[in-house]
Amino acid sequence: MEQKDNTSVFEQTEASRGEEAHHIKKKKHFWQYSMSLNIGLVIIVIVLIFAFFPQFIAPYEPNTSNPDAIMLAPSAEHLFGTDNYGRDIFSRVVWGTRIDVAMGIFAMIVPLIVGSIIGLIAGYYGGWIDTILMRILDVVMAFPFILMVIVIVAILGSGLMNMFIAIWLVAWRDYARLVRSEVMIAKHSEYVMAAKVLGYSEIRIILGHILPNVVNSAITFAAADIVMCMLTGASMSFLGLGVEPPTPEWGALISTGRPFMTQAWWMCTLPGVAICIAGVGFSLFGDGISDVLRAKSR
Amino acid sequence: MRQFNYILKRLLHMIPVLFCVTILIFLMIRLIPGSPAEIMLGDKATPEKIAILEEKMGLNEPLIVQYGLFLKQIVTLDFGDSITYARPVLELIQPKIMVTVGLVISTTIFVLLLSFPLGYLAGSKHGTPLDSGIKTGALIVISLPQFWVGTLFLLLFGLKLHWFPVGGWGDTFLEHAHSLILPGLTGALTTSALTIRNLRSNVIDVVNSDYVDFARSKGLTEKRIKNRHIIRNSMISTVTLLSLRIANMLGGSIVIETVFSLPGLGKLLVDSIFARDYAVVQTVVLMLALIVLIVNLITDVAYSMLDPRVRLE
Repeated sequence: MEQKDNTSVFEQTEASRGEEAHHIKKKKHFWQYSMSLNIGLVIIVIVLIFAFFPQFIAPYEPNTSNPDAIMLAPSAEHLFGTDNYGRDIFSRVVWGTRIDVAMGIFAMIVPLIVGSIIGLIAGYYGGWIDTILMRILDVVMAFPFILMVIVIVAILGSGLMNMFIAIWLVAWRDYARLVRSEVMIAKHSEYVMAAKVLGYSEIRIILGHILPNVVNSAITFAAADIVMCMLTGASMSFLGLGVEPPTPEWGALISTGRPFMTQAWWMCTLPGVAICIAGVGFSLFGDGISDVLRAKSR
Repeated sequence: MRQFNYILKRLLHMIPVLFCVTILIFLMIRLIPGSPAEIMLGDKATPEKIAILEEKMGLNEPLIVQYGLFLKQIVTLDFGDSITYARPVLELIQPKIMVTVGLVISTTIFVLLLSFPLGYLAGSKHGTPLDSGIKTGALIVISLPQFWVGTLFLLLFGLKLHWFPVGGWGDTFLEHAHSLILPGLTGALTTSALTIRNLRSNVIDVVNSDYVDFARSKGLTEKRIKNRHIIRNSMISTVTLLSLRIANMLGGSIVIETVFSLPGLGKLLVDSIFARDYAVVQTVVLMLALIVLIVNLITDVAYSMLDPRVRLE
């Protein structure tokens, strides 16, 4: 839903102008469609390098405390300073990248798949399946997203895996709603009618004809959802309901730094820079994906 | 009369949803693996205490009877006692509702103050550096974690500049309002970014619409076109978006109250989860869901007054 908001006439006309040029001139490469996508991709590649190879980037061990270096201010030696156990915060942030990026991606992927399947079935078959689904959605929607996640974690107990399960159990609703509404439009279209006349099986119609035509909006939403999932995961850890200490995770790092706000401002502020950079990267990527898909669909 | 009918219809719609919400909250505690009584008692659990609590909670009865008891509790506003505070849950919750509602009001005011001028400006000057600046700013703001922004505000405006209290809620109305400024602003940023983008694209659509061309060709002044046609029409869907976001603001209040140590429902919820005080958890979740439903009702009714077409559906 949020992705649709940024659709502007200006961008549309620009995109369609691009598409006209596409017919006249040679084929456009994907990176020529969207500046946001390019900048976003560059940031994401850097973030992924941090996530995959922290051992080559982090100057210190993330969990080794050093009694001689307690709460040192940021310096050339300790870029983000050190914490109350003398651990190097920059190294902890670097090692945390892996967890936060994984939270964004894995928390998004399962609801994308499950929610889309539910939306496909409900939208295509309609009837009582659809009615039941819509009633469930009404109830689930009465709760704020993070509240539902918190309540499920409260039941299951805190921890990374339980947090994933909680987000999966809640986040499918957006995809189901989105895909369902697209399927309802697509199933009355001429190409689906034609496929039916040709006697194709329902599975073939759903997977081969409807899915490719409705998947774009789900993907657009998913690209923006990575940021939402990452922020939700970090917020949960910040509240103490997500990743357990001493595992380095960005939200948890900020949370552990807060009691020392007056003595060591860097503990609760600098790890946030990492979330911002990764967040902006994925947001730009999401925006870019929607630009590209919009241009391609025309 | 029509207005009255509409409100009645909306109230009737609420009943099944409310019913399901209570079922969900009821099942919540029963879904806890193992004996809820044992988990609720934690370290203090002895077989006798567990048996007493199970008896008290009615956990030995069949599920349907338990649910009946739960509904009776809700109707009679008797939500049991908090284990941590040893006080009736209702008594505990009452003062906290005000804090959370105050926070949502403060957040909404900041959203209105930020998003309407900026969204309109970006939309009416689209394609200019100002527009791209606002657009980029909105994108960055969406990517920021609220708990971090709140912490930064607290550090800068609370600890460094002493403009605002560092935590707590004060005693008088003015103190309440004062302590809600930073939390409100923090909560407003994400929603504002969304409403700015929405309003911006609406303004661009409306400016290029036929009825604005027509108004212009009628010879209306630019000021009148702006006030009566552009602003009003572009606001409609933004107001809807804003009302949909109120549920999210309530969710966000859980995090923001923790950041600013505000004694609201959200902070109570998190504290009670750690204390395994499930009677409180249950009631807070019910209250938050109720607030969402009431806000939805109010916005629907207000919306039907703004745009009479809604009532005809």
